[in-house]
Amino acid sequence: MKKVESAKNKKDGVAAFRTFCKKHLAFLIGLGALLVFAAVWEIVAVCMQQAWVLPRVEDVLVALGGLLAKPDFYRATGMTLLRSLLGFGIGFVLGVLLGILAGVRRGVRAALQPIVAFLRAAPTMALTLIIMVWFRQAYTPVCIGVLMVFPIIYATTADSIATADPDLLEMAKVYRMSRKNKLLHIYVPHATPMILSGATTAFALNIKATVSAEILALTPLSLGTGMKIAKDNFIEDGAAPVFAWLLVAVLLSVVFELLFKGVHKLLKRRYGNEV
Amino acid sequence: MKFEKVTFGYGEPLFEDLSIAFTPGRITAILGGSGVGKTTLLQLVAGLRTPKAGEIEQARVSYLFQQPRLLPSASVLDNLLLTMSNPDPEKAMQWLQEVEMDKHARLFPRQLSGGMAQRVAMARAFAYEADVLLMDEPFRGLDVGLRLRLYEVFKRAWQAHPKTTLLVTHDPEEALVLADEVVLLAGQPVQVVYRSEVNEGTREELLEKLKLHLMH
Amino acid sequence: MKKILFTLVALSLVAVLALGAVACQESDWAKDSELVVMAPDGAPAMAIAKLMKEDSAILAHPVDYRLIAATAVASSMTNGDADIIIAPTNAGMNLSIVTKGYQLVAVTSWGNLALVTTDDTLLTLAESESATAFMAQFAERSITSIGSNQVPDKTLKHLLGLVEVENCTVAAASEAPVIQTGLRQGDIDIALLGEPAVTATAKNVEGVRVLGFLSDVWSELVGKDFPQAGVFAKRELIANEPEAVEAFLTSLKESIAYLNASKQNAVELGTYMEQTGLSSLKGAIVGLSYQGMHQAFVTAKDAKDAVVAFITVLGVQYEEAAHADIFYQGK
Repeated sequence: MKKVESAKNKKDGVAAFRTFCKKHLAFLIGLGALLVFAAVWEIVAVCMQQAWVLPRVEDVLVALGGLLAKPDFYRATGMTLLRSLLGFGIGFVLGVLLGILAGVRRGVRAALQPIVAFLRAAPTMALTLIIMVWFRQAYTPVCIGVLMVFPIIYATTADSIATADPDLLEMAKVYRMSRKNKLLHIYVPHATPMILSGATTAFALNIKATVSAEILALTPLSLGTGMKIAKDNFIEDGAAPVFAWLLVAVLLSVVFELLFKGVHKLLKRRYGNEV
Repeated sequence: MKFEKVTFGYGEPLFEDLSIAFTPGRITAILGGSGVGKTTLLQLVAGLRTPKAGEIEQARVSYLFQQPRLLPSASVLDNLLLTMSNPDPEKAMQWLQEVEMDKHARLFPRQLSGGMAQRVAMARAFAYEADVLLMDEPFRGLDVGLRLRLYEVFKRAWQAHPKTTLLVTHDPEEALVLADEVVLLAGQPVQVVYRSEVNEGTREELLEKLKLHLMH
Repeated sequence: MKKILFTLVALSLVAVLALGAVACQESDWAKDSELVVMAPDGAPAMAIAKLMKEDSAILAHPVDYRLIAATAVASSMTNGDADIIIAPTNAGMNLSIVTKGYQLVAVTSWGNLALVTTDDTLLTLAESESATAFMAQFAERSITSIGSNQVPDKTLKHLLGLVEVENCTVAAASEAPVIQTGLRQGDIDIALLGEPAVTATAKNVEGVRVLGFLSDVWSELVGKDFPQAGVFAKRELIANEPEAVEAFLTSLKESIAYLNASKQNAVELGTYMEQTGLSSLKGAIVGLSYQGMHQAFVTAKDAKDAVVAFITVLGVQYEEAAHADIFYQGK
C-alpha cells in the first residue's frame, strides 16, 4: 500500500510543480534570463580583469550591502523617491487639466503646441542646467520631473479626449446626457487606459530624469548625489559602488513599474477589461 | 411630427423644399435606396443637424441606432438610468422586463450578444421620456430568427407606450410587418414618391414602386 | 463645468509660480537674519570646512552653509542666492563686473593643480634646472587636462606659451575619473589634475608620479602667485553689515589656519566633509593632500596684484578705472 501511495504523491508533486511553472512561465523565464545575464557579466568581468571598468558581480553585491548598511542611504533613497513622486504628481495633474482643456478647445491646443514641442525636444541635461539657475538644489529635480511628465500626460489626455467614440457622443447628444455623465461614462473610461499607459512610461522617464538632475545639481540627500560621489571616488573605492547605486536606481524603477501594473490590474478587475 | 419645406444637403442639396407630415402616434416606415438620405432625415428630426432652410417641428426624441451604442463602462441597468431624465430604478427594471433583459440588469455590455445589447438599447429608448421614437435600421445584420424575435419584443413594448415612430429600413418586409404606414423616398432632389397605409394591396404596390425607382 | 476647469488651471498655475517664488530669495538683512554661505565641492570648500563643521554663526546671524555643484556657482551669483560664496577667481571677478553685485573680499585657494605622469623619463619640477626647462620637456607631447576653457586648461596653455614649448597638445577631459581611467589603461601618459584627485591618482594608479604644481611654475615664470579661488561677498551685505563681514573674515582666517596646522586636523575636517554625504572629499585623502591644496588666507587688498595679473591672462575684461572697487579694502 505504502509504495503505491508514495508513488502517487510523487506524481502529484510533479504535476503540481508543472502547473506552477505553466502559470508563472513568463516570470520564470524572466528570472532565468536575469541569472544568465548575471553569469555572462561575471564571466566577462573575470576575463577582462579591469575592475575599474567592469567590477565583478560579487563586488557589486558587497558594495550594495555596504550601502544598505548606512542609514543615510535610506534617507537619500526616500528623498529621491519623494522628489520623483512630487514631480510626477504635479506633472500629471497639470497634464490632465491642460490636456482636457486642449481636447475640448482647439484654440488651447494650438496655443500650447509650441511649448509642449519644445519640452519634448529639449535635451534633459540642457534643461537641467537652465532650471538650476532658477531653482534651489533641492527643487531642481522636482521641476525636471514635472517637465518630463507633463508633455506626455498632456498629449495622451488631449488625444484621448479627441478620440472619444463619436457614436457614443452622438447618442449622448440625442439623449441629452448631462455633462457630468458624459465625462464620467464616456470620456473617463475611454481616456483611462491611455492615460495609465502614458503614466507608466512617464514615471520611468521621470525617475531617470530626476536622478540625472540630482547628479547635476548636487542635491543634498539624494540618490543622484550618492552616485556622483561614488563616481568621483572610483579611483580610491573602485567602480563597484557606482554599479551598486545604479542597481538601486534600477530596482526603484522596477518596483514602481510593478506597482503601476498592480494598480492597473486592480482597476481592470473593478471596471472590466476596457480599462 | 412635421417636416416643412426643408432644404438640406452636403454640397449638392439632398432635400429641397421637402415637406412631410408624419402621422402622430403611429409607426411610419421610411424606405429608399442607399444615399437617399433616410438617416439624414432622422438626424434632422433629432436635431443633430440643422436644415439650411425650412422648419422642423421640435420634439424630444429617442433614438435607436443600428449599433446598440451602449456605454461600455456602465451596467445594463445603469445604461438606462444614465439617460433617463428622472432616473427611476423601478421604471427602468420594468422596461428591462418588457424586453426580457431584467435578469441581466447587472451585466455589462461586453458580456451581451448583439441581440441582447440591441434589446437593452430598445429598453433605453422606451425608458427615455420622449414624444418621438426614431429607429435607424436597428435590426439590420441580425440573423432571421433573432430578428423575428426582436420584432415581437419591439411590438409588445411599443403597444405598452405608443408614440410617433419613424422607422428607417431598407427591408420592405420589415416595413410591412412593423409599420402602420410606409413612405418611399427617391429622386434628386429627394421627394416622397409613394405613401400608403399598410393594408392588403400595399405589398404589391410597394414592391413595384421599389422596382421602378431603385432599378435603373 | 468651465468654471471648475478654469479654477483648477488657475490654481495649478499659481502652484507652479509659488514653487518658483520659493526659489528666489529676498535679500534683506535684519540683525539676525540667516546668511547663505556657499562653496563648490572640492578643495576650495576646505577653507570653510571648520566653519561648516561647527556651524559657526556670523555675529548674530545664523548661517546656512551650502555645498553646491561647481556648475551652480555662476548661477548662484547671478540670481543673488549667495550672500558669501567661494568661486574661481576669474569666474567670480567676471560675474562681479557683469552683475555689479559682489566684491572680492579674500583669496583662499592658491593653486591645487598639478601635472602627473606615468612616464618615468620626465623630470619633476624640483629635479629640473628651471621652470622653463621643466616645461620644455613637454615638447611634442600631449597633456590631458580637466577644466577645458577654464582655469586649468587656460593657465597651462599660457605657461606653455610663455616658454614657447613646441607642439604640445593640450587635450580636454571632462573630469578627473576620465583621466584616471586613461592613465590606468595607458591611453594618457601626462595629465593635469587638481588636488585631492592628484593624490588619489598617485596613490591608486600604478606608476603615476606627481611632476609639479602649476602654481609653482606660474610663480617662477609670471613672477606672481596663483590666486585660483576666492571669497566673494554681496555688496549689499558689505554695505549693510560691515562688522559681520569682518567677523567672517576673521573666522575664515582661523578656519584655514586650523586646516593647515596638522595632518590630523586635515583628516578631521576631511572626514567631516565626507560624512555630510554631499561632498566627494574623503578624510584620508584630504589628510594626504591638504598641503597641495594651498589654502591660505590673503585679503583682497593684498592679493590685488596677483589677481589682476591672473584674470588678465584668463581673458576677464578688467579695467582698473571702472572695476577697482570690486576689491574689498576693509572697513
